[in-house]
Amino acid sequence: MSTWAIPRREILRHPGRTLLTWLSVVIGVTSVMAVGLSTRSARQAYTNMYETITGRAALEIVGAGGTKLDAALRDVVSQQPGVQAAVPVIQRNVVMYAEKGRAKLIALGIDTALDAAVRDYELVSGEPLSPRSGLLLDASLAESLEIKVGDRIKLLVRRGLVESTVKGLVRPRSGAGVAGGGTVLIPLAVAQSYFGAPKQLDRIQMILTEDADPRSVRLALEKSLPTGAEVREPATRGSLAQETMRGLENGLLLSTAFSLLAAIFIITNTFSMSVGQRRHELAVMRAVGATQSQIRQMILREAFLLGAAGTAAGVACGLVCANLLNNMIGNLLQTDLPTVQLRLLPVASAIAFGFGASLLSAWLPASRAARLDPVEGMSGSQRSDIEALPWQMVAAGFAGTLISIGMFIATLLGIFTFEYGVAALVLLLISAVLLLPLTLKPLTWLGEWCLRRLNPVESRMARRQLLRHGGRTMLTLGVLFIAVATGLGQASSLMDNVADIRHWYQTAIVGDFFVRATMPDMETGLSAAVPETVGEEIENIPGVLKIASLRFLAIEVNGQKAMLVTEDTVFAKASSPTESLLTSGPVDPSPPTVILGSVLAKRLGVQADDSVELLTRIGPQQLPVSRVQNDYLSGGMTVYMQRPLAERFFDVEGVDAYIVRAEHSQIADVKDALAEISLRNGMMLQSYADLTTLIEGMMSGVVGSLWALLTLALLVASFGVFNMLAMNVLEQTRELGLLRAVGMTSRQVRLMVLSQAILLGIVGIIPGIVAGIAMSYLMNLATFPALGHQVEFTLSPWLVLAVAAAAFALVILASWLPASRAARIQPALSLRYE
Amino acid sequence: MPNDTPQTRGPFVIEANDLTKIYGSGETSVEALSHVTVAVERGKIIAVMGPSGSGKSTLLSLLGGLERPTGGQVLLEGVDLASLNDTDRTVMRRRSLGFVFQAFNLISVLTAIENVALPLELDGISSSLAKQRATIALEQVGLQHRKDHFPAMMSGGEQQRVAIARALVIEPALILADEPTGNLDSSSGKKILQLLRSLVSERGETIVMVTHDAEIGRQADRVIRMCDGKLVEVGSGPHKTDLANARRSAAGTGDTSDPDSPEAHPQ
Repeated sequence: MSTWAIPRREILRHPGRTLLTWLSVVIGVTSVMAVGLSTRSARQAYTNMYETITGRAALEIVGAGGTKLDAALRDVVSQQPGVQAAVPVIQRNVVMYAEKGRAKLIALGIDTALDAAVRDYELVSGEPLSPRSGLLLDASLAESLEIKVGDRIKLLVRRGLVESTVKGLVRPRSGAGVAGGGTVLIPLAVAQSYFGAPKQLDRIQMILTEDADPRSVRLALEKSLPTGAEVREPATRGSLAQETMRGLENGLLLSTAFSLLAAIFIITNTFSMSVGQRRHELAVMRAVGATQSQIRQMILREAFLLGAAGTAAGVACGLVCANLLNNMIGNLLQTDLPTVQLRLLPVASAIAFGFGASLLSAWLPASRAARLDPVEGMSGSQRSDIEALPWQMVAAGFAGTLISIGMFIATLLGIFTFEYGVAALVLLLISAVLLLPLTLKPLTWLGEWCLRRLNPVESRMARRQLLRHGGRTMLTLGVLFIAVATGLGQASSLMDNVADIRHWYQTAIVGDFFVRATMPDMETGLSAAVPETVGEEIENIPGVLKIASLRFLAIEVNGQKAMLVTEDTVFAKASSPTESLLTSGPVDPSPPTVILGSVLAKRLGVQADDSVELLTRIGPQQLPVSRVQNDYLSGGMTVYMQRPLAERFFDVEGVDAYIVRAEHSQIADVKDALAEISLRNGMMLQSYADLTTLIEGMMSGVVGSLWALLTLALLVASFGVFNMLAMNVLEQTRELGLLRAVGMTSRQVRLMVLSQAILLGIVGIIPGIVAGIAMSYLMNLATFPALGHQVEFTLSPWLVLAVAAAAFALVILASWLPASRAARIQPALSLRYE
Repeated sequence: MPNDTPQTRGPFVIEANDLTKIYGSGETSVEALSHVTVAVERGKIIAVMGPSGSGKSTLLSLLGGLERPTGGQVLLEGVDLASLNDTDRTVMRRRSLGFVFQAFNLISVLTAIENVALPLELDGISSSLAKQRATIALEQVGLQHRKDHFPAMMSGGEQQRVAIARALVIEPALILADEPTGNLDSSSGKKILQLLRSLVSERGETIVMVTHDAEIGRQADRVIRMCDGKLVEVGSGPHKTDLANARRSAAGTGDTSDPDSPEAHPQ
């Protein structure tokens, strides 16, 4: 009983220390769980979308570069030996308008007779789809928008807004089946009419006979297919969407790694202090018969209990944060992701972290406690510092520094992936902490020298006290150092990244207004088309200087999936400048060239003036790269091309969005006119200000949460300083009483404890600031493999000053209570203190 | 692990032979105990006296297996403590030795009964049985009514009685007490001394007690005086010849003529 009672009561006896440790576990578990769940949810949503669309198909035929397939090809394919069924599909993104709201959907035009061979839907209510009219809607979506069978709904398609009747509600029998807001099934002929693609198909999906060999069928089909059509295994995961998410995931990974590191340090610190504080009792336990293993187990049980409490709270917080992150990722991918589902692996990882980190962090203090000599522990004299870091750790610090620098360089050279870069940064920080003992004496001397003029005796004694408890001092400094370094490093790098994104949209997007139905899906490049008549209507608005149309298309460049962005000047007044409204630079139609997004260029190892191979409807084509552009659209995996050139190689039809530039004096009138057109056609109008607000809004979520993290890190560090100073005061009670007895005033005692805090601040915060600046620079460097360009490093003196001032203020604040307690010590009482 | 039953059960509970303890090494080394030989008979109360730094507490630590000697051996009921590893020594300690310290040394987060039951629970005895035995031990020291109180809620004298109950609960072969009245007022000190005395006379316990108090020395069956790490005088109680004879009879030789035997000589 006592072996559990002691840990439990120790936890309750020191609420501050318990809170600090608990909070560390909570932060760590929350990070692991939120990042794990949200990124998995997003990935799973895309996988589900693919499963819904591809169904049971073993092979499919698609047109390269968005080329449409001739509907007659289906008959040819169905005759092929080994093919049991050939199912035609046309697929577009549409916007649906119902009474209760608007939703972005994937519309599948299907052959009502053949489709059941590929897709397994259950008709929940209503009747099956007839070949000529009506539509089937995803049941869960219908439920959320309160749509019933027989209701009339509107769809925004290339022809404009069309009305149709809901014939039935369906639910996929396998997989979640809905992504990007849901699916709507339309008869093939109706879809071809809606989307302006008569007798055309986007893909033909095939079910093979049982005895067929997919490879031989594929080879046979390849021979009989027309140019521009290719046969392939259906894509089952969204590689482009995952590329887009990678940058965000890397950022989250780094933040998680730092929060885990800080958590482990804080837990180790608090347990070391706890063991130091209980030294006497532990020695008594050893004397009355507790073995080393029993003492170790007792400390580890305490860690287990705190780990359990922290994990429980962390899992709950993690679930909430996962949903917030999920919304953020949804914004980034321009889609509505399904609600985060509890999944075993992220939850299990978070739980494993909670318990693992607590037990791992407590292991060293527990082992030291177990090795405690009972006689020495009880005597109170000849106190060896059981909290001390052994010299081997300094050696490990040197080794870790060398290894981490090597790993980091290898990451920059592309030998290692970004994850290794993150690991290198974390290792570098740990190594720096292990090397901190080398700075303890010189920096405290410097601090004492600075304070000597103000309070010579107090500062000298403060320094001695810190050096006397070297191990405890180092652990507290470690927490302070990690908090300042990671806080400043992340904040500075974050500000640089925000500036980089801001610079991108300020230079890349120069239009005044954007008219669009939906943003293109990051994976397929599909978006709901803008009705054909809209271009002309905009052109007739007085005050419009220039209109450019945009069309997005998923293509392959050097075998890598990418997003083709085509731009075309629909209308331009003579006085209007001839530069592009999307890419920063002049329109240059000849010679035929492309502009590559920076991430794609980095992935392909391509620079300006190199050539890339594009898979087009007329076969592979080599095109020179005129330049590489920093880009955040579609995660930088973009290819920019003028539309006339794109039409030579790809099946570019319709318009996804218009960019409009207006006379400055007539901006308000143009906006009103555009708003009227957009409302009438069921589209969205965004001004440049709206768009920047949208981007800034998306960024502010990330920025806000990281600032919160920084604040929390500093608060937790100040808890650590408070804990340490409080313990020092407790242990110095006798000494302080003696000093009071020989004439030190209570003000001087207070000054001495405050001096300890100031010295701690100097030794922890100054190296922390230096390390933070270095971290920020390295983090910006590390973005190169992920972004394809290095985010410019800018050192903000105000940020450095603010972090330093905040950290110092918190340290001084944390020392106030212990200093006051010390000042109140009665000489007579303290001299009897045991 | 030591055997559960002593290898031999002679007249001495514990014997220290040629015991030396040196702290540190080289020029900074300090010889805290120098070639001390002493044996403790059953059912007696032995006082160890001497000035500060004379080696009293070091002797007590070595007898209690809290430290390893630099030289010599400590035989607790025939088992050489110095030959055991840390775990075995710890187990030996919790089964055979009871400690009473000057500063009481109770675990502050445990109640009186939990403190008393602790050595038993550490030895794997079930919580309920341990508490039954702890209750009996608390009754013996007259503190049954305080069993659910934490140390901070008790007076010094009461805390020391709880510490004595903790030593008694394991039914020890030997109780080692380090200045048990040192932190108490004279009235409480007297009561504690009476309690210890009664344990020897009524229960046949054996107690080795380090003390500065001459009054306690007078009440002891035998006084061992120490100075500079050496035994300088063995007071009232078994004569050195008696001691040597007893050792021989334990060895079965029957030879009682060895007046120059070094064992009982102060070194």
